[in-house]
Amino acid sequence: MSVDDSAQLKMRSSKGKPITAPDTLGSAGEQGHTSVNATSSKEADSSVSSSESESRRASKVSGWVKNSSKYAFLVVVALSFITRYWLIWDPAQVVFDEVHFGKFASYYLRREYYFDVHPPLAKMLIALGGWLIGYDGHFLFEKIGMDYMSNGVPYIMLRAWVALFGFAIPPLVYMIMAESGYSVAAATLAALLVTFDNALVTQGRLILLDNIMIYFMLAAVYSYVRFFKLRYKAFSTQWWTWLLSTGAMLGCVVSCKLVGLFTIMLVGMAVLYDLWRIIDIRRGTTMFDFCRHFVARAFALIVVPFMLYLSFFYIHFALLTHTGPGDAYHTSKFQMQLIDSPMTKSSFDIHYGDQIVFRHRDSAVYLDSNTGRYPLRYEDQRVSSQGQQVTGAKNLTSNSLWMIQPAKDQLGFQEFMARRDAGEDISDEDMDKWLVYHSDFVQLMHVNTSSILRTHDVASPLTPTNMEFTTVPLNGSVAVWEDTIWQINIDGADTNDTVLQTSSSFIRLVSKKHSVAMYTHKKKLPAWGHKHQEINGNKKPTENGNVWTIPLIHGRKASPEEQEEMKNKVAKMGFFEKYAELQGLMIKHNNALTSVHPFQSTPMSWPLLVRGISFWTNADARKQIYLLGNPVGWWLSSLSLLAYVISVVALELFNRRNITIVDGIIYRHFLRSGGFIAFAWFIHYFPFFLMGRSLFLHHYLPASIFAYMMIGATYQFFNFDEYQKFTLRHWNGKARALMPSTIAAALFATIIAAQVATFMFFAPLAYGTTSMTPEQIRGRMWMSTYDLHFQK
Amino acid sequence: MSTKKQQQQQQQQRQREQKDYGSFVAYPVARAPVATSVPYKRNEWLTSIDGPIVILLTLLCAFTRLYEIGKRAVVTWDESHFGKFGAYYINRTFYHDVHPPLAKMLIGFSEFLAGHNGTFTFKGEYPPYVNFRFMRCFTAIFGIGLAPLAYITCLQLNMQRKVCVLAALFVIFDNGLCVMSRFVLLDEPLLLFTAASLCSIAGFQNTRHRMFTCAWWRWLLLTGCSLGLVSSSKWVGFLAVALVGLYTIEELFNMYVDAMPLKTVARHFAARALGLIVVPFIIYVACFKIHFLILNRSGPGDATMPPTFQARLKGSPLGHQPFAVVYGSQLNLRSMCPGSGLLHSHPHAYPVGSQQQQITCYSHKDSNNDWIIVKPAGEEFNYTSEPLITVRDGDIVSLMHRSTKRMLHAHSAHLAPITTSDYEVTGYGKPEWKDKNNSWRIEIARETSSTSNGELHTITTMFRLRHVVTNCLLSAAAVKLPSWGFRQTEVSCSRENKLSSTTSLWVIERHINSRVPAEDLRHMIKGSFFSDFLRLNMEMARSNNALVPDRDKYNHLESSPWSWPLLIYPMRMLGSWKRGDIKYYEVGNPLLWWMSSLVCLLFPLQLFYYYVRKRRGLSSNWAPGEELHFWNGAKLLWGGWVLHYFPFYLMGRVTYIHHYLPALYFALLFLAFEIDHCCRRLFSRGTQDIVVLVWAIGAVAVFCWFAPLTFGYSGDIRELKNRQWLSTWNLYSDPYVM
Repeated sequence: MSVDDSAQLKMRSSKGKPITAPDTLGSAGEQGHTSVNATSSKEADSSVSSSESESRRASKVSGWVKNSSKYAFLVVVALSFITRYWLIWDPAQVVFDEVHFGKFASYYLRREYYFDVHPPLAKMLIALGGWLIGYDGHFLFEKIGMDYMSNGVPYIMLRAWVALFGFAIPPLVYMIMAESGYSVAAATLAALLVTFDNALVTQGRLILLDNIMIYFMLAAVYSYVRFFKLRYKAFSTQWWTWLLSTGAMLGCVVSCKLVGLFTIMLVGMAVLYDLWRIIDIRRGTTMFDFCRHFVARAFALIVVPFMLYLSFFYIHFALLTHTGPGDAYHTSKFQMQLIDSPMTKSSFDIHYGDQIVFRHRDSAVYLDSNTGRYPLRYEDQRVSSQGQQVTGAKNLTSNSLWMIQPAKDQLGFQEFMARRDAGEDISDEDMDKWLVYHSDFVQLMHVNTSSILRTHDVASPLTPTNMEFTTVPLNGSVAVWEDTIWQINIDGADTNDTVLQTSSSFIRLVSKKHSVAMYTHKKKLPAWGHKHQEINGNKKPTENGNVWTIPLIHGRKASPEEQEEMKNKVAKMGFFEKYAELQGLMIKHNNALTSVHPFQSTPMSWPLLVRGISFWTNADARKQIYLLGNPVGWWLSSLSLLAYVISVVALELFNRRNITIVDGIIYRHFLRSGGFIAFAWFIHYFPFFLMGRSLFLHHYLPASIFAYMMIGATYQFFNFDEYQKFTLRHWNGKARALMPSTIAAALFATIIAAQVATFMFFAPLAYGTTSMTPEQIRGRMWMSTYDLHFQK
Repeated sequence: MSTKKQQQQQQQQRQREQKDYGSFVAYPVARAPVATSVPYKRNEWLTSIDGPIVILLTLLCAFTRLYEIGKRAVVTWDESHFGKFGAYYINRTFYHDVHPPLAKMLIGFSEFLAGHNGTFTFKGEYPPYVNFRFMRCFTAIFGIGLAPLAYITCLQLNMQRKVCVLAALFVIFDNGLCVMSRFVLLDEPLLLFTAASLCSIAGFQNTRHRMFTCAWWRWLLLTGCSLGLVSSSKWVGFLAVALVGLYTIEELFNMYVDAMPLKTVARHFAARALGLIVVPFIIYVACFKIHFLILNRSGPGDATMPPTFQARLKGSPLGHQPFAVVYGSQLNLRSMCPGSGLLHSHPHAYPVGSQQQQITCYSHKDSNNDWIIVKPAGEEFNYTSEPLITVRDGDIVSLMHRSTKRMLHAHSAHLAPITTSDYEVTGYGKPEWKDKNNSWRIEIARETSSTSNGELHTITTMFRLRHVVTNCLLSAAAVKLPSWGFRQTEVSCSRENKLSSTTSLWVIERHINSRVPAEDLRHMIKGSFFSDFLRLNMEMARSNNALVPDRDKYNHLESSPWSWPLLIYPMRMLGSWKRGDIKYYEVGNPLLWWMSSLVCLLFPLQLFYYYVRKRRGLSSNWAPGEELHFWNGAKLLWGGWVLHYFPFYLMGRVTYIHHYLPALYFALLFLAFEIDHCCRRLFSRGTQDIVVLVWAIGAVAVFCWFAPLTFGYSGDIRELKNRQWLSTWNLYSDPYVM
């Protein structure tokens, strides 16, 4: 039997006054402590009629108990400010991912295009801070440990700006707990625990994305709680306000990091639960009503966030108008949209007979050959062909020049070349006959040694699975001839009339006979190969690493008129086309972030806080910043989640047999509000188990906030017998107690004291401002897996 | 007055039915129900009319399965594997395979009956002395059993008789099920036992009101037996176990929630634990016991098992070896960590670290596994003339690789290539070099023979090798090296002094020394059936996981699970596809595959629709009991389809289209079930008959259209080009060929 409609159940207190049951996310009819003016008329009447007696009773309560919620909130705000802003200027060096996010902010200020896997909002916000204080983006945050002072970066203001978001997190936790019908004690407990969490403090005071994302996440949850509490005043202005606010915050959180999708799922599940409640015939809703509810939510929680998400990308493109380091990730069409793109500066059609240069897209080396030969035997005893070396060189020299020749119609080509060499004036029409097209078969002649590029069935020096690249003299045998034919495959070209161009064409060079593509990778050849990169034939031609570009034609330069002409030729790209391309790349590269990082960790280890992340070290002063949660808080929160699940399962099993252990309303609040928190934790944590990319401890931070809230929820459940007496709202002036018992008070004090003490103990690692002796550092290794620096 | 009484009775009846609703129904019906559909009736168990129907269906099924069964007198499809495995039971030689033994033992039995003497290796044409027609008929019997079981299952799910017949016709006239039932394969027993599990759990469900009666017990035990048989045929059978398990959990939970006395709930639990856990487990174990009893000779699968097992096989060289190890003996050392193998070295260097010679563990027998145990360099000893000295606990020794003459070496200068917390182990140095890093201390961990006198013994002694200089332990933790190490197991020197783990335990598998007389070791070795059983199951799991897709091979056969319900990539069952070859094509009956997939995929929407209607108070047109009937049938059939289909997405191993057949069986029955359900709700009896007839004719017609590919087609395949219904089918042109 469903019990959805409990919110309408009224309970009689001993005094005979009607009071409303707290339910899923908070109380039904009553208002939150921050908004007083929207009291329903019925309640207003009752408060007027009994105001006299109540004021008398209220006078007995001492002032600070009456206003305890305000004081508690102020304490949380003050402590949050102190913990986040404490010595925020120290260290005056680049810390951990400030490398990335500081750099991205600089690019916004320089308006140069960059590429990143995260959506743009949080980075634009950081840049906004920089813009407001007049920072010009001259510093690029290249390495961890670079000095801010000597580089003239206004980092204090940048950090202080970002820390505003981190600073707002504990108060928001307090507000969510308060609105969800918890007591002052429980709300304060959760908020103070969050205030004194080392990981949140560390993250909250540096130029990083996570605290901005968490801020929006909590704002979305808070808005939804407010919205849900107004469910009996559907379609009122307030109802719309909070609904739209939820949508807007969801849009923001997902525009900070794609992890925001988890928050959307959380709200989505809560909405489904709500809709299922509304559709019940016993509630008297007509299908029309239901459709109104449905459409309102769909608009506010799907359309609004998505529009916001798109508009942030619109701003992103509007800001980043110049060419920059992110160009190379994109298609040539996209790159040509950027001002000063080399694509638009020098994009020529390539003709047979041109001397061209090949550059590898990913590693930016040039296809090079020199008179050196492969050694007969490699170190692993394999034998080579002893052919002429073909390598990937970092620097552009004349050894990188290759003449492109057709595989067919050699005679005509010779004639054409003879005319060209003789300096004859060849008509455009004749020239066009010798354009190189997509899927043409060509040969490549190395200009300096007059030999032809070839691959054959000999294992490559470093990669035995791939085929060796070498060259053969011009007049080779017929058997070799087949090895020297290459097909030009231009990426994205589907018809054979696409002309090969410098800069803008991304090509794969595929051997006609062996179907292997020219490939190179970061491995360096030994001394005999001048430490150049190895070039070989990859048997999977479609792989991404096989893409090359032709940056230039030897001796060809664009005149200013030509440049102008090229600029005008560029096809315009609409916003949606640009967005679709960028979004696809973001997802692709996010999934490809699989390279092993020394400080990555598995999701399984996060709730137990098995290991942290080294953010920054200073060997001279023996200082370090090490991202580590507050062990006491993390272990306690994991324990409280476990306690929640066990309690609910046990109580549910008893309930099913009609054995009541906990009073109905308290149990329901625990079940629903606690369930919401538990689900929020779950949905922000478990999806990481399914992710293939490398993961870090800070991915757990959003979930850890909900785990802290769960401490508050279980604390209340196990200590408070009568919720109504302690709920954190104006309660018609009636005496509100703070603590139900001395035990509860003692527990509260103990937990806070333990949390604060542990926080202080680990603070040197969170702030990185104090130097520590090896003994002190070893004393902080509560687990042998905390790999702190300077242990010796 | 009487009408009032009748109404009251009806009301009571309705209430009783509603109480029975189980978990599907959560809300009382708002308005008085007006039954519009054909009333629901519980079927009785095999009335007189059912006998002839079952016989007719069986005969019809026998025709489709047996028609021209011996047309192709060549080993076809996986007969090459399973026929060979069956022959091992005749030869009684031990082999290793990823599947449990029951179905293969049945094949072995059919070969025995067919008079096969075990000499045929199942390659190419069947020789005259192998009666392959009999073998195929024997396994086809399992496929034939599917039709009557489908009929009886549908009866138990209280479907109308005509729809039960329709369900059986679906099973009979599906080309995919049919063609896979015509060869010597494991699929037929698997399908039959899966169908039997479904049938018996449906019967059990149908007798739930007569708990603890004879019929109830009969169905419960039948379910247990079927589960035991299906999981002993292929591990996919565990999916049927999962279905029954989930069903039982739901049932017990409902009993608990319905305020049944806890004592009765406990009785129910105990009965089910006996019937559904103990009985299947006994059958599963018994199959392995018989497997071990039959295969008592040394054979191709020896190396996967520990030496204590190998030595007990007849004809194994391990049974007769020198017992006590002396200096100068030639040894093969096996790591006790399952999946590691024998200590191995070969003339290839590590590409990383010290770049000295590789030391690995290799799972096959090979001359590069031979090591000679010697005294550390510096101690003069003549291994051919001086008196024999036994190797004892605590001795410091060196191990020399026999073919490369390198010493087993470890050093703290480099870390192991994969397990970077350990030191690297290499083959380095010549026997005469006085290198301290070649010295290892013997630490005996356990002696299983009765003579535990501190000496190192063949097979019965488990010991560790501790590196003297760095104090690390030689270990192999089943970690695979990359291609430069030929995907063999990494050997490292572990700095963690973990004495509880098996990774650093070694045992001597082979011992050769011409100066020491060989003894019969078999009486010294204690083996227990259960440890063999567990070990074999672990090895099966390991080889199963190793069946990862190899993209260069077989990719015209493999298909991913998403393509199965839509029949996107059917499979050629033989490589040669020329005119004159008898060609079989594993393509299902497209009508049945597509419609059953549609029904299965849309079912969640249907359920959602019914839930919403109920929530809106619109469900009053359900006949009494119809809702319960719908939910009870759907959860078994649709749940069975889900459980037999979606787990394949999680499997890393190669998947083929015939893996879908068990799920297809559930889907076909579910299709019939939905036809029944919709007919009852929508049509009058006359219209229902027409609908059923149209379905039956459609299924048979499509079957006949594809029959040439099912019964074997020897003409030019281009003549059948009208059978190519999707462009992805490789009926006459193979799109995979480059």
